[in-house]
Amino acid sequence: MAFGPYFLLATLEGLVTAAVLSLIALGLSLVFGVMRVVNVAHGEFYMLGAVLAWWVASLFGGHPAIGFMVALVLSPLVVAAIAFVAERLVLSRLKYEPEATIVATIGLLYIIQQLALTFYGPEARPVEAPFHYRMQLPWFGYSAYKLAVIGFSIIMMLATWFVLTRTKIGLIMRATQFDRETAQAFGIPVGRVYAGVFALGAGLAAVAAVLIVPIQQAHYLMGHDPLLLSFIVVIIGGLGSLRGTVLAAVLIGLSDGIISMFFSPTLAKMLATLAVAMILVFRPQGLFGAAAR
Amino acid sequence: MVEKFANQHKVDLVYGTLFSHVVVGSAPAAGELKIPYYVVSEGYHVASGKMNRYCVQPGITDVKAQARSMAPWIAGNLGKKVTLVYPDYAFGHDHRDFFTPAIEAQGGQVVAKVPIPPTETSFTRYFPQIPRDTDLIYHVMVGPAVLTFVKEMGEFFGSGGPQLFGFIDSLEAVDMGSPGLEFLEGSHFWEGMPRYAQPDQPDYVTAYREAAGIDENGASVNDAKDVSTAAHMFGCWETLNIIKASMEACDYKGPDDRAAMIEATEAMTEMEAGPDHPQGKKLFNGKIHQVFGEQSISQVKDGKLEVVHRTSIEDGAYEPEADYTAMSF
Repeated sequence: MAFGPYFLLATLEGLVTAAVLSLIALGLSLVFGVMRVVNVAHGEFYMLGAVLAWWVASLFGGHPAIGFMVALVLSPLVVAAIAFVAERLVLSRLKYEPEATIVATIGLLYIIQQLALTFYGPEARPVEAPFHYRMQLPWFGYSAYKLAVIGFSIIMMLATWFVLTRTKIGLIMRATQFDRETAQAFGIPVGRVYAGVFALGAGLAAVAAVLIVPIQQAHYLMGHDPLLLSFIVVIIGGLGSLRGTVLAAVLIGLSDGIISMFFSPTLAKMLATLAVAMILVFRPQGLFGAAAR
Repeated sequence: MVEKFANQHKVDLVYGTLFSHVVVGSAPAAGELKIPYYVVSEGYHVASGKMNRYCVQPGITDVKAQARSMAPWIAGNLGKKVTLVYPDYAFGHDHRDFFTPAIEAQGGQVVAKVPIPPTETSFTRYFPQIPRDTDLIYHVMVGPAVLTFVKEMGEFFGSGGPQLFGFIDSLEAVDMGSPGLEFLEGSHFWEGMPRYAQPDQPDYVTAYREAAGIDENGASVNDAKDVSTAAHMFGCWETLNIIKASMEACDYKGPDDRAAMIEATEAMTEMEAGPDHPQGKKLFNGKIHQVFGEQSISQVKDGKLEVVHRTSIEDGAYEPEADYTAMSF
């Protein structure tokens, strides 16, 4: 294949990766930004979103779009509810101490993963895409659904941005992030805000998962790779920075797509990890993160 | 794991369907503990002579024989310029290393090799490596992402791409009716044993399918969506029968007879097709501890796999490169 089309395909693939990754990483970044909790179980909320999407979609007959749309609404809500309960039962009782919450979320990771293995099984199961359309370009064909994933992800990012910057809930979240104790002194129920943010973060991962299951399949081990990549994105973008997360996701997604295609996927992962190391050495707060106060 | 079986559970023997790297990793322990290890893995490692006297693979043919037996039919019917797409570890390397000389012997050539890491979940990025002038893509993929692999191949090429010849591993346990697989219509697959009930199948095959609990589409009789690994799972059935026959032949009483049991298996040669060997007749080579058998080539017709050719045992046969019987127990 000539360079032009080759590059186009690499860019498209990179953008799909970026779209999904930015949603997952945004959830992780929100949780860290507001709560200062490193949520190691984040990838498992993503997996749970995919597994639930399969379950919901399999309940509906008729046009595949019906099951998919219901899954897109229900699955993130259920995952968010589970995360809410986990936050109230576990994290809040640990008083959000950094070391304890890391260990606790590692525990959560294994519990969710093994429950999925026990009740869902080891199979990889597909969810039918809401529509099938294969675009035939002169050099190769491409799935129109993948482009829809990019579009929907952009809408979700804009919605999150709107909530954070233009609504009262967003204001409360930002106030809690800025100074927890002062926020509490002003009557903000910090505990409930934390639980809400944790649920929102998990819900965003679940949305990403529902979008991806028609392309990849729901599988109980699918949370590993996205978790690693989201950490990379969040560290590069700056923990807690929405703008940084999105830009870093696009950067990592595109470089992953392009480097993987022209060289090798392993090299792409190596370069991303190297970028993280460089950021940690020279700009520990990330590209757009605020320096520690 | 093998030690746990031998010392904690005190088993008589170890038997299993495992990834090739697991077999290679656990074989030395079986040798040290002097416990028979009946492998159902397809890899060439047992036949290569690199394992030990306690490792045998009597119930399923190995990749070397499978790949060799496919080459003449592929060169004669589908094309001679082949691109190989395979998982980047021992099992995939066996395909690469054994199919390449086999197709060259038929006057064909491998124009490109596309190894894919076994943990990969996204495949479109690999397809541009397939040269435009390739006649045929020989694909074999394993793991939970196989459906994504085949679907993305369909999105990339549509129905206008090169011919496709796949090892059914690429779609094992996947419903052929899954959305996005329509482009496979007319393409060919290797199958150890046919997934779909064939019109001319003997009674013992019907009996085997009933006993295993699979319907005419190769899915569970209880759940039509639960597709079995029909192309491979006969290997477990046949190996169990061989274990039984070996134990009877050496009058097995307990762990003291383990060496005698291996010798009984080594003494086996021809195995007639029948209830004990529903996949077909086999020829066991005691020197390399490996069985040889017939293979099926099936074509996708109306979304189902129909056997269009059956290779002979001779098509896959090769010269032994080792002699386990010369090793001490």
